[in-house]
Amino acid sequence: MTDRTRHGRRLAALAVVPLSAGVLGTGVAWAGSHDPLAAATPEPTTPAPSPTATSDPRVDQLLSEVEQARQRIAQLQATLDARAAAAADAAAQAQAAAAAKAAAAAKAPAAAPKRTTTAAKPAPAPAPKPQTTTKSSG
Amino acid sequence: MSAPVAARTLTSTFRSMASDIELRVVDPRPGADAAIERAAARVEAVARHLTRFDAGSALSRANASPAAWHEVPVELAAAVDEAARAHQETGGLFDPRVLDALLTWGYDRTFAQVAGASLAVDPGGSQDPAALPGVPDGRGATARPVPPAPWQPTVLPGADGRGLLNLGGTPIDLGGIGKGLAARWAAAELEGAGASVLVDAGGDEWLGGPGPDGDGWLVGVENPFGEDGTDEEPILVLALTDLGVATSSVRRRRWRTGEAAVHHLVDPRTGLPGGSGLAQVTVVHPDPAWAEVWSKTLFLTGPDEVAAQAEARGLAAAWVTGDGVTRTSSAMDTAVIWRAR
Repeated sequence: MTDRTRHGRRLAALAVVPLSAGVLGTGVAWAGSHDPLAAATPEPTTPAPSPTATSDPRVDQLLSEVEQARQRIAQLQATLDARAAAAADAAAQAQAAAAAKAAAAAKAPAAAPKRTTTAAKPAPAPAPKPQTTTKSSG
Repeated sequence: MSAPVAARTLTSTFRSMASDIELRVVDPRPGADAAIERAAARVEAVARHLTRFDAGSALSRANASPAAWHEVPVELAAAVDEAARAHQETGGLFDPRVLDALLTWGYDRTFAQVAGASLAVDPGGSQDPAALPGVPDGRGATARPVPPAPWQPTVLPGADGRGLLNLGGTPIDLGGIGKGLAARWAAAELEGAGASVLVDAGGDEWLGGPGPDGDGWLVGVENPFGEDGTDEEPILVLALTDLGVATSSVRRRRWRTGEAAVHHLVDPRTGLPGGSGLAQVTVVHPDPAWAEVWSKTLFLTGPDEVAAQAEARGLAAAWVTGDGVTRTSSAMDTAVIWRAR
């Protein structure tokens, strides 16, 4: 092998390393995390993917779809939160109304609530005092 | 005779027709005293002319010659006329000719005398006719059915407001309508005497106006199995306004004749004590005389027929069976405000 050939191969190898790392999406960081020599160094924080992280149109499209999905999820969550808040308000109002009705019923004992279960028989009421009596007339 | 019982009430009580009579006026108006006197006089006239226990009474004279014509007081003429109407309306179950059976069984004197005589031979030795066991069924008594032809007395207007009467050949007893008529005529005299009026003719009553408390007269219905002299509870309490009420039962007028126990409610078809299985019937009616007629008639229909007869005729009726069960017709239910349990 001549010196010229050896130099050409080295350039080719140096060119392949960053290219593969970029295709895998994490740039040189991926290579660093798999470099046994770099084990002692603090683990770098993983940067959030962004449309600007790469210039690959396919990746850009995917990242854009992910972002749209996130926005859609956020919208749905907001809708759910709004509905939950409305339900909570309605429940609170119903509870307040029931409390007011119960208070009113307590003030008017004649309007007894309907009995839905069979109660024990009340003791027989004594006879009202008659003002006269019909009896055998002969 | 009359005395104020309370600030708002004028009351008169007296004995007549072998019964306690009461006339009561609530919130009396001017002239109420005079009205009460007139009402009492009407009751006394009924007692005087319709009794069969006084040989000199108008009824006794007519009964002595039942096929002859008699000039009689207007009370007797009107009573026979009304009794004949009742005979027709009840299909013959109301029949004053049952007198023959009553006389056969010894009821030819006032009931107090009958009871005393029968108790003298009562092997049980009881001093109270009501103490006879159960409801007398007349078993063993002599049957005296009335003649098969319908009763057709003749009543015509006579001179000076009196009447002309022919009984049609058979003596009669007007005990089944006399007190009701007394209540009717006394009530007529008391009309307008006060805000409310009560006539109690020995149990046959007229309840005029809304009563002392303004929500109807509270009328207790006597327990046919109760005992006199005790503060017993009624079986029903009714609220009545402008209505009459009468009760027929065998609680008091029952006695022994020989070995047979009998009572005064005679079935004209059999000539024996009627209504076997019933102890009492009460009827509410706009006319107290007809309340009495129907209470006796329903009694004679017996326990199997009384409900159907009351409903078919639209009568407000309550009845008690021989075993103490109380029932009411649908027309009576609206008047009942309390029932014994």
